[in-house]
Amino acid sequence: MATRIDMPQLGLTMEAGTVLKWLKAEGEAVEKGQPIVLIQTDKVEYEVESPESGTLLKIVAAEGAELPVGKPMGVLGKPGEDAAALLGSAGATQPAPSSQPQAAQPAPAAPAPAPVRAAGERVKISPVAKKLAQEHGIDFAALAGSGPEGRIVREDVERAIAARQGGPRAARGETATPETIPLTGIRKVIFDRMGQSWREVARVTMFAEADVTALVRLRQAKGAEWERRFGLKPSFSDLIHMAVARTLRAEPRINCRLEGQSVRICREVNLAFAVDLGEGLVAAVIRDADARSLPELARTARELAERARSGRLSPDDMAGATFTVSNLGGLGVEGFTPIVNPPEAGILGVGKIQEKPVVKDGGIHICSMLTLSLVFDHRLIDGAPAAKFLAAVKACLEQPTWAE
Amino acid sequence: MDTGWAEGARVAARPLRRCRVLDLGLAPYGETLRRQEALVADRLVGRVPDTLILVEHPPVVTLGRAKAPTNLVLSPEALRARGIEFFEISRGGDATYHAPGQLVGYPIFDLRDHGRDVLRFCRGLEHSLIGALAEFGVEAAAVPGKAGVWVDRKKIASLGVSLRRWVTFHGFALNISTDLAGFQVIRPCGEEAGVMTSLAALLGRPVAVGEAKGRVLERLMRTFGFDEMAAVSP
Repeated sequence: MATRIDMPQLGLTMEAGTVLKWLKAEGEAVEKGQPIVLIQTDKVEYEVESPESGTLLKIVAAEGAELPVGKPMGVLGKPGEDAAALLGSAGATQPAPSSQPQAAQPAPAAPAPAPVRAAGERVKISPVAKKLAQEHGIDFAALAGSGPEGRIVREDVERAIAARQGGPRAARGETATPETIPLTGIRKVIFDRMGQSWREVARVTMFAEADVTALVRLRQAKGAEWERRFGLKPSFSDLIHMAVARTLRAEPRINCRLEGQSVRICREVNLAFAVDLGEGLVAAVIRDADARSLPELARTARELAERARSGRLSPDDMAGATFTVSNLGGLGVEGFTPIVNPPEAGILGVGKIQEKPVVKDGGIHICSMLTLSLVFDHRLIDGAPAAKFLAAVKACLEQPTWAE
Repeated sequence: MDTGWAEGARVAARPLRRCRVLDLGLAPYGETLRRQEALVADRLVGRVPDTLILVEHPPVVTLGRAKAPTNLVLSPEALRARGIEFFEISRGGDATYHAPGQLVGYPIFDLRDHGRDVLRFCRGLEHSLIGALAEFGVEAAAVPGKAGVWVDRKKIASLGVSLRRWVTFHGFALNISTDLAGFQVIRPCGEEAGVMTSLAALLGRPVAVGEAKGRVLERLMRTFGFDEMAAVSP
């Protein structure tokens, strides 16, 4: 069966690459694993290796061509096989083969603020977004960009297309408190993803109550010192993120993602947390959360929340999470069962800290108790490892020596 | 079930992230390139951990395969006549010039341990160099769309990376006390030669490459999350 050779995604912010040099000619035989074409992105050169043994049937992108990630460069197969069939789906992107990195997950993006550009300033727009805008006759110079440095990305153009199709009211720019909320843009993404998760994930919830009295006391005792040393006072969420990240490193079985037909146990701990945007919510990702100190976690979380609220999250900030923490304690929720974000395998719901009478050491004590709910996808993780992980998080929070 | 304390202790333990550092001193480009190739092959099969080569090169011009050689001001023959080596190589980026006084670093890292993101790796290299320069009081920055490290409109470090599967090679070149006139034999990375600057030029005093090495290493260690960076004998 013929295989497509697509422009690989070598990084979450990579949107396009250039074909530098074909190392094989049309009609030439190729072994699996042999370099077949050289591509470049930014200042990086990469040898794409052939995913199969066969013949290079057709070269679709010539040397010097710039292509968006996921688009076909060539087709590999047996001599005489029909290459055209694989190329027929114009605009559709084939899922990248498992040896290549995953393309960034579509994630909810906050509506971007109105563009502020000096007259004559060059509009920053990604090649994919530009093409899409041109295809739909959208004047992209008038768009706000939600990408890095105000760059216009595909989501921005898609939103503009949807808004244009919204009808005369949308065209007039009416922004009175709506009686109906259209399922477009960020609402559509949330709608689709929540629906998909609910339908597909084999959801199991496990509860635990952690005695965080020591943690509360620690934060009270160290608060002023932290503020002096770090310039900010880490919140309970920051402390919980730290505990969860470290526990994920120690219990990597939970730190996994569904990729194709396998469960990839990730070495990196990229912790996502939910940011409420008012008109929606978005999960921002703290990369390598297990390697960061408490002040770094606090700072990063604040920056991400800031960026999220002003619509400046980059694809890097929103994709690649290996686990999510959702803390609704601040909103008075005592306990809840959050929704797993595929392709992750688990999410930890955190409620509010409550003073409760607890039976301990033969007596009744007033302790600060925190409800943890671990929701996990039983298709990917079994009960025992999940239970072990939850117990480890609880233990970590109850003995906060790591936060000192 | 273990007691809470033991669970807490286990959370603290994890495999160490190591990086070996190979300081080759002053070494010719070709020889170093062969070394890189061997290390890449070893890294691909996991025979060695992440390794960083630090080196200074005798004058050499290298040309990546990105563009036609229009960024050579002098032909390869003319270069050689001046005692400057010339190499055409498989590496991102364009024409570069290396010479003594320039700290060249070739991280041979397996990006599967660093988030499988080569663009993030490049930003990490830039970030590390920016941090090291800050310790000299120099405020440098990365510029989106223009890989490398810039001080105002001048370029102090170049970047050019290759990737084989997920293993990186080639890397960065930081001008410490490089003789900037040497850059005139090329258009470095497609820019005018006058765009290049060095730490010595910015500080207005001589700076030894050794002064910067330690700081660059420390920043790399922090950025890439290494627990230890151990020098091994070349």
